[in-house]
Amino acid sequence: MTAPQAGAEKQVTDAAAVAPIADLSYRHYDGPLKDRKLRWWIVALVGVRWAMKRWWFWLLFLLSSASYGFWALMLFVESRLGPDFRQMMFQSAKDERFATVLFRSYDGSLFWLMVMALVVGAPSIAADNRTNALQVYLSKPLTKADYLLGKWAGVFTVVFAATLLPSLFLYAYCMLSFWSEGFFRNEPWLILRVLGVAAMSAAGFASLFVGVSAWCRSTMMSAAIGAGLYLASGIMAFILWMALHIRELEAGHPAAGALLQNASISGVLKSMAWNIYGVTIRFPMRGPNMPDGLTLHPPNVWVMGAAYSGIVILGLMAARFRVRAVEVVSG
Amino acid sequence: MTIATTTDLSVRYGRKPALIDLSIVVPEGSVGLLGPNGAGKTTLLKTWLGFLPPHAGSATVLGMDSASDSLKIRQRVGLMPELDCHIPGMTAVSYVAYAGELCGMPGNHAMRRAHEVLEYCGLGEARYRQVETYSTGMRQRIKLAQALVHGPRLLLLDEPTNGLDPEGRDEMLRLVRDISHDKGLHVIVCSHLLPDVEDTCDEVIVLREGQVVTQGSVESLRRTSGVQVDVELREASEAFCAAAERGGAKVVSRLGSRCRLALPDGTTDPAREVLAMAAASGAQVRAIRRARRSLEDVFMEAMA
Repeated sequence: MTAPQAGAEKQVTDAAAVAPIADLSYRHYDGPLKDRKLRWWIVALVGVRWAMKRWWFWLLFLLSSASYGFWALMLFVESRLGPDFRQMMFQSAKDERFATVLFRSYDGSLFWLMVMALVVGAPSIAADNRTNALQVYLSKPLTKADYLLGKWAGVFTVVFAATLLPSLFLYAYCMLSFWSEGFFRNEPWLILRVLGVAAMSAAGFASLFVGVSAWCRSTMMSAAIGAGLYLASGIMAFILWMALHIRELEAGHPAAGALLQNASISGVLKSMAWNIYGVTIRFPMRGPNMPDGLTLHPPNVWVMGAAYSGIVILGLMAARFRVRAVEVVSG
Repeated sequence: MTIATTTDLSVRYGRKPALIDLSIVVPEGSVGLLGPNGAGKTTLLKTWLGFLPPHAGSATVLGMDSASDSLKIRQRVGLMPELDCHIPGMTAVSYVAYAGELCGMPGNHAMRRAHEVLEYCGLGEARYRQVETYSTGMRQRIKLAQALVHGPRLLLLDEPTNGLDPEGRDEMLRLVRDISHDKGLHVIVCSHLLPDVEDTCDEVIVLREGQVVTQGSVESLRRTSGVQVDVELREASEAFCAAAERGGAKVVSRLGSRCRLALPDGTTDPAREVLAMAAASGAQVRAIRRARRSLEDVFMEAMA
């Protein structure tokens, strides 16, 4: 090897020893950019992924799905035991049979759906407030509406999926098992009702908990306030209902004061689902004042619709009012 | 070419004015926004990004109006906020990639770019750690990384050395200098720390109570008026100062054996004059150099 060759080789070896393995230089980005219209979905997707990576999400999903499994089992037992069992469990009009089962399943899962929505929704904006993440979000080409829509859609998607998937499972079971009993003929629009209830439920929970979250700087506080509102409104409505309708209840009219009984967040969501499924619940037990058993109709759809709209709009307005890129000092 | 401008800009928080009839032109390159706390530096940055609506006047960034084109501006500008901020529950690489996706980058591009930018900012080894576990210095770096990820043309750095130890500060200033002088990004550094601006910027705008006090290149601001020299003697000498004043010079400042002399206008050979004064007073001269004001002097004069 000649002297210049050896020198050149040494230089190359030295350069390799000094050079980093990774490329540490900075280059400008000149790659493609996506359209801004769906930027909110990126925010939503992060919320969905965050929830799906948590073990408790799957536990809550199982718990909320349990009532669908229970009612599927009841349908199976009924198909084996015959009309006597049906009289006992499923007293409903011919065209409401499967809608009733789906409504009762939803009613049974409501509490766990609330817990799921709470643990996903409570930190949605509160955690960002705690870490000043809004400055990061809003310094990007993202509007406040994109941010809020993204956060809302993240909670909505999780609750929607958690409501819809077990409903679809039950729906599919009913369709496959009771096709010959006029499943489609009697309840042709049931799938739309299932979708409607899932969307209604998810929108209600998402608006409520995102609205609460926007006003808090801690996830725990947000969860406490959200759960407090939900549970306290249910307890208050029950106490008021009992106090104001005690005589009617004692006289054997448990359907009295249905509006007041449902004047809570859980009651409004349940009533809306009841109206969407459009079923009449019939209990077979008979008493001195109920010779034909107990029949419950859905609460007034307009009143409950207005209450539901109030929850959704108030939640969204609260979030919109609170979320700002900069603190505005008044006075 | 100008990077950002304001024309008769007034911004208020409620009734409290934050910027008053502010008219400035920010040139290309690296520009420092100096001013004491409450001078309106951060307010100006927020107005440029469209976070705050002007009460009167207008502001532009990269030729776009801040009030009407704020989204386009934010697409081409990166902000490193003053406050500690991050998106909770994320590793550094997913956080920076997410910031890129928020700017419209496709997921795979954003992830690749996040790795590059984190390496550049010196967080390559810690990129898979949760941001919550980062030290203050690392958090400052990740704020810079998320501002750089989408390849902005202009970088707004709000107090970039906040809370850093001397080593971290040097490292951050080295990064800022590299970005602005070697990578061709325009940078506006907003700080109340004069050495930070002195180290990184070519141009300075000094604000006080929402108004511009002085503006110019660091070189021109540091230049002294007339002919001034710093003289270092072997030991402090009253006789030398007296000889200097007899020779028509003015003693601007004295500190131990050092003094700054303002020589008469028209002095062509300052060294010869100083040596003559030393010879007359019997003082021994150790060094003579052309006097330069520090940015601190400029700032203090502007604030006075």
